[in-house]
Amino acid sequence: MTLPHERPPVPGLLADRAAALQGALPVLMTTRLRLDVPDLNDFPAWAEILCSPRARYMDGPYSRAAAYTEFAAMLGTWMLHGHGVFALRPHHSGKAVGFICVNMEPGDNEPELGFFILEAVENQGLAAEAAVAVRDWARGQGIASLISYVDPDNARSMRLATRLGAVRDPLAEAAYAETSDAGIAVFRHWGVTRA
Amino acid sequence: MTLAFHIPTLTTERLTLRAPREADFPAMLAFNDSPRSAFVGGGAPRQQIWRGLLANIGHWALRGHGFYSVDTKAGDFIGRIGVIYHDGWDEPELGWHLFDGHEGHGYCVEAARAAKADYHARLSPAPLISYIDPANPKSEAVARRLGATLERETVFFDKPANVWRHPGPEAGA
Repeated sequence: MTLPHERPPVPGLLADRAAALQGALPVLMTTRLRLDVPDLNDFPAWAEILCSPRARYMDGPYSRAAAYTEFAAMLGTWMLHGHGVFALRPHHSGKAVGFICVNMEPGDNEPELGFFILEAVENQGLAAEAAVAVRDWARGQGIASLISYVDPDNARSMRLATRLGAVRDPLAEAAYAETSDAGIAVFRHWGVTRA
Repeated sequence: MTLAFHIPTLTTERLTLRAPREADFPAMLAFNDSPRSAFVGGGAPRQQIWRGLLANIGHWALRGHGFYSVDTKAGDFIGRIGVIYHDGWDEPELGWHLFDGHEGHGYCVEAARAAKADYHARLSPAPLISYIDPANPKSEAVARRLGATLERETVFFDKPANVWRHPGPEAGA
């Protein structure tokens, strides 16, 4: 049962405005995926990930309400920073199976490429396919530096970051030494360390 | 009544499919004046090319799909590719034309795949057709690489044409 704030707007002016805002944002096409900006129809997939133990490496699991706040913040990032979250949609279904974000959150020293997918679609290379497309898109947008923050215990994400060709940045990691994020792995896609 | 519509921007590995704009006109004219346009009604009067540019924008407003203008990452405008359904068409058609000097890179297939997937994702899962002149083997090769098969022969605007049928979205990109 979806809660009132999780329901998409009914057809009409407000739904048209929401669709127009979403439609003005980029769409990336890969061999197997359409990557576009999610809407409320995708919130169940988002919550499935963030409210599950899968979110343990990203400050979760979240309550459903907190997952909504994260979703709204990630979509608001498009309006504030011009980059944000993409949904991963296999061409054959159109249903979101994961998300790739170009984030800029409290605590981030520079824009971050983040990725998470539903457990059901693991081991198909979809996260890598999407991450490459979003990373290359981000480079084309003139984002000066891009990193991925990964919990060292998250072996799958550590492997993906390495597979993307990103390299650990000891200086960027040192900047977190005295914080609650001490020990975080910082993988650099490009750009220079900001102290 | 407010006519509000949005033309998506699709990014592929090497290309950007974007909304048409007035600056596209010179390249469209040059294509029309070149032998490459023989299979798509080339050699038309300048005024008709201008109207074609405007009509495509109207097609987007009316149907929510149409020809995208295709740019390389370097910003070169290399052709027009998309799904069109004008008066006189049996069904929506996946169409393409690539300007001189941009063949041989797989750009046409890459852009057509994106336009096709976008059409199915936003508008309809119904498999698309392409009208191809029987004397245009290069376009037939593009159709084959997209997974299309020859369905039937027809007459399209008083000329023989083959109807190629594309796989639907279930078959992947």
